[in-house]
Amino acid sequence: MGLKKPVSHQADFLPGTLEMLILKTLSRGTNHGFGIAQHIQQVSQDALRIGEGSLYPALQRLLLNEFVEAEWDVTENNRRARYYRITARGRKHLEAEKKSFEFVLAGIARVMEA
Amino acid sequence: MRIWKKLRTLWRQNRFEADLAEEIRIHREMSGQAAFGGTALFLEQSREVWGIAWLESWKQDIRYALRSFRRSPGFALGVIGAIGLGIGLNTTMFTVFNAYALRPFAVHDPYGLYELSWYGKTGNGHWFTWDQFRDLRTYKAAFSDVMATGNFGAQVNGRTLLGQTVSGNYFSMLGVGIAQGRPLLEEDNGAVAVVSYQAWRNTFGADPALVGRKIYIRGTPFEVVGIASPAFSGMEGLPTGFWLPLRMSSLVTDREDLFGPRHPESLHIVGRLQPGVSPEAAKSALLAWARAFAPDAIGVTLVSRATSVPLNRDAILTFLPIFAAFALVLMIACANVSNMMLARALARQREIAIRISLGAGRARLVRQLLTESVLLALPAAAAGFLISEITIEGARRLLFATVPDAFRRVLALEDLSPDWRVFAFILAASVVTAVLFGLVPAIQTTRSRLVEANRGDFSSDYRPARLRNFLVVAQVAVCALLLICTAIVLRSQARVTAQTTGLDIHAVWDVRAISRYQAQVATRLAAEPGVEAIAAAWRAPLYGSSRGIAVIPNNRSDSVVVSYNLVSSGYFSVFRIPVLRGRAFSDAESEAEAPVVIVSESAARLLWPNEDAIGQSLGVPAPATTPDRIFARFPRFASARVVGLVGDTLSGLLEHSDFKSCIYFPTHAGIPGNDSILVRMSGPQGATRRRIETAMDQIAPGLADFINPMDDVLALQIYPFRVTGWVAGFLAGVALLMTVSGIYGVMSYLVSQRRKEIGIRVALGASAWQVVRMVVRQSAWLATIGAALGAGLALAISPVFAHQLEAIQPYDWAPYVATALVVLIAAIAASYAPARRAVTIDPVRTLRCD
Repeated sequence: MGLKKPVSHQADFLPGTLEMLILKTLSRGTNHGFGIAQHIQQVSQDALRIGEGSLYPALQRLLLNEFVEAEWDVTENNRRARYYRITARGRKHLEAEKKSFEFVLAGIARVMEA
Repeated sequence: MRIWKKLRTLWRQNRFEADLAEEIRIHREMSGQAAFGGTALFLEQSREVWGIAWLESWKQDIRYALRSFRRSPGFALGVIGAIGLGIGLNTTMFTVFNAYALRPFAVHDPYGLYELSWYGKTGNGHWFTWDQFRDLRTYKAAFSDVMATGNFGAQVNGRTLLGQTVSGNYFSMLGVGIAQGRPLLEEDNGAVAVVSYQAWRNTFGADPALVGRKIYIRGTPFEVVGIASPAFSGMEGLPTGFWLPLRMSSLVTDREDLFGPRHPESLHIVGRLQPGVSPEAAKSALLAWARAFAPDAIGVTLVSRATSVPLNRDAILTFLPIFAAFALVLMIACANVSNMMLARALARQREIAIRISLGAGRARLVRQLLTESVLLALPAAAAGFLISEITIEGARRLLFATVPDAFRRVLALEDLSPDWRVFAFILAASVVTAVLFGLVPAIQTTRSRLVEANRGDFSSDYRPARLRNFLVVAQVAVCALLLICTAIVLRSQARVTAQTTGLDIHAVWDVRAISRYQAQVATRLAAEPGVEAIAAAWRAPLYGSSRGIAVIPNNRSDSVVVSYNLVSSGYFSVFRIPVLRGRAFSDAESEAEAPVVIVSESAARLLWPNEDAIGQSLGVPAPATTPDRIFARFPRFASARVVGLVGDTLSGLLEHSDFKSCIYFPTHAGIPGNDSILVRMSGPQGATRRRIETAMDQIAPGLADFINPMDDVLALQIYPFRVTGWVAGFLAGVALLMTVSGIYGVMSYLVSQRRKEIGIRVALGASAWQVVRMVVRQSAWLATIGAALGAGLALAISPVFAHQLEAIQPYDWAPYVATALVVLIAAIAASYAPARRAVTIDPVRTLRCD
């Protein structure tokens, strides 16, 4: 009932990083929410576990900005799931994010090595 | 785009939430997690992403508020009524203000138009000569274009209209359209006229063949060549009826010939500022221009002509007290409603406590209460609009029904229909009032602390009582202030009405015509049957403040200022002013404007305190500067012999009751510069007017400018007091009504809250009288404080009024005492019914419940 401030959904990430990871995953092909979380977990060798609590709000943000599109479909094992597809806008955003991420990462590295 | 998506999501909210819930369910299935916990948190978080959480809670608030109004429709109607009345009255006021001071004229770029004048060391303003106007048209440093105008009044087809002589570029410069025919053009020098659309409708009965016809204006025939666009009715405070070429000035006005050898300064000039030139820069350029022909010019003034009343300091100072009075009524309504909301909110204390203990934030609760007040304010705004339309129409009718008969023909109001500014005002007013009456109770009631609230203990917080008392005191204070103002105005009116003028004005008519026909009019009317006496006068009495002149009696060297007039020999018999000693003027003296003077009793006492005035001589020094012929007329001799002593008269404003020392110089009908022919003529008013009009039409059609019975002239002087009294009285009445109902509401609430206490008192043996006294005393106490505050306020602001209106005497004890009594009695009466209810409380029952 209370009017809360938006909860920070990814306390362990830099802001926007989760969205970048989702976009990167989707740039390899359409996927559903669970698939996206699985993919990130596998590729990062269990370093990054994405909970539902951060995944779905992030997907909503991407939908709102029209970086992804969503559609209900049927999976390989014949179950209903909502598939997400990256849009042209989303790809552009991913490129931009990647650049600024590398820039920030390099900066962090320099600070840590100094 | 984003907004659109958000709205669409909100629209299909059920679908959105079903999708999301399904998605999360599937996710959990796939991951093999047990379905721990609900999905509510995710839904909430996802909703926040879409920014619809707040919209969702608005929806709830609105639904909740509407439900509670349905439960207590009396409360909702009461609020809407009170606020609607307050907003309605203020909207009425704003509509008038808008029509005169905010809405620009329907001309091309009205905000670029400025009226120009210049002044010298004496501070007297100067208008312009024809040559100066022609010169300014070629001087392009300040104005891109200039036009010249002159105003006069004339009776056309039985109605008095405002006429204007205008330069040929008037219509093209203003960009005003034409409904029929053509506008006036540069080459128009003959007897042609353009009539305003309103005059065409009202004066000529929308005659389709008017264009091309001849109309008579002050005895001269003019051909109508066009009818102006309906949107345009001139640029003066009163709607203009017709326009004539400037060349026609000397035919239709008494002013000196513009094109004659004396070059009179009689043109008003309005210019359009050059694009990009500020008024300040234009002023300095125009001062340089004016210095070329008037080396003693020290400044020029530019007054905006975008609206009827230029919105400057003076206009604001005039409107401010009126606005304040209306705003105060709205404040009372707000205080009333605030109190009702407060009482209601306190009754809902338990509900609010439950919501707080369930985790509702204070901001959220305040918002919910504010939503309620906004929901009440919006219908109140609609009701206010309706009320304002009704009051405007009612006021217009009242005005036309009560204004002295002779002036109803002159009366014309600006268009008072609402426009976007009025609607914006209503909206702003309703939002501000909603916050005013909603915020205070909202903050107040959400203050309660959790623990106490859950214990059911709401009485530990005494602040609501303090706030309630403050609101009641404020209400009473404002109400008292308005009542005092009303009483002061009514007293002033009574004082002014009670003045004796020393003039017998009954059956005397003031007849106005252009001066070259005045001699003929006088001769013609003198021959009418029933005419007892006839006279010419420079100024008819009672039209405004009388003019003063400095004279030097033969026994002293310093000058004395007395009021004066120039009249013909019949003046004293027309008004039946007694000739006490000596004689009135002879006809020969009148015709020759001979160097003789007649003084009134008190003037004689002032000039020759211990001597007989008859036979004395009076020096009349020539004024230092050449006077404006419209405003002052001086005798042509340096000294005059006193031939008569007459009774005192009050011929200026009634409020200048001490200014009775008047002296009279001789003049005669037919001498230029006299305003009036005064006739004493018996018979019924309507028939007499028609006889005078017919007689004058026989000399030249449309000759009479107006024919006023002097009774109406006197009534017109009192009329503003009557109108002010009505408005103030109406406002005070509304304020009193609202205050009484406010006190009643608060006292009822208090009694019901103190049931237990009163029950105990009664059980302990308090008598009915003691209980009544307890309740009434509280309300009387608040009323006393409020009345004292109101009186203090009235005393504080009264110097402002006394300064603006000499007739108002604010330091008069009677209004204060009367108001204090009225307020006190009202407060006691309002609390009487709740007190009676308190008496009927049965101690056994109240003590048992809870």
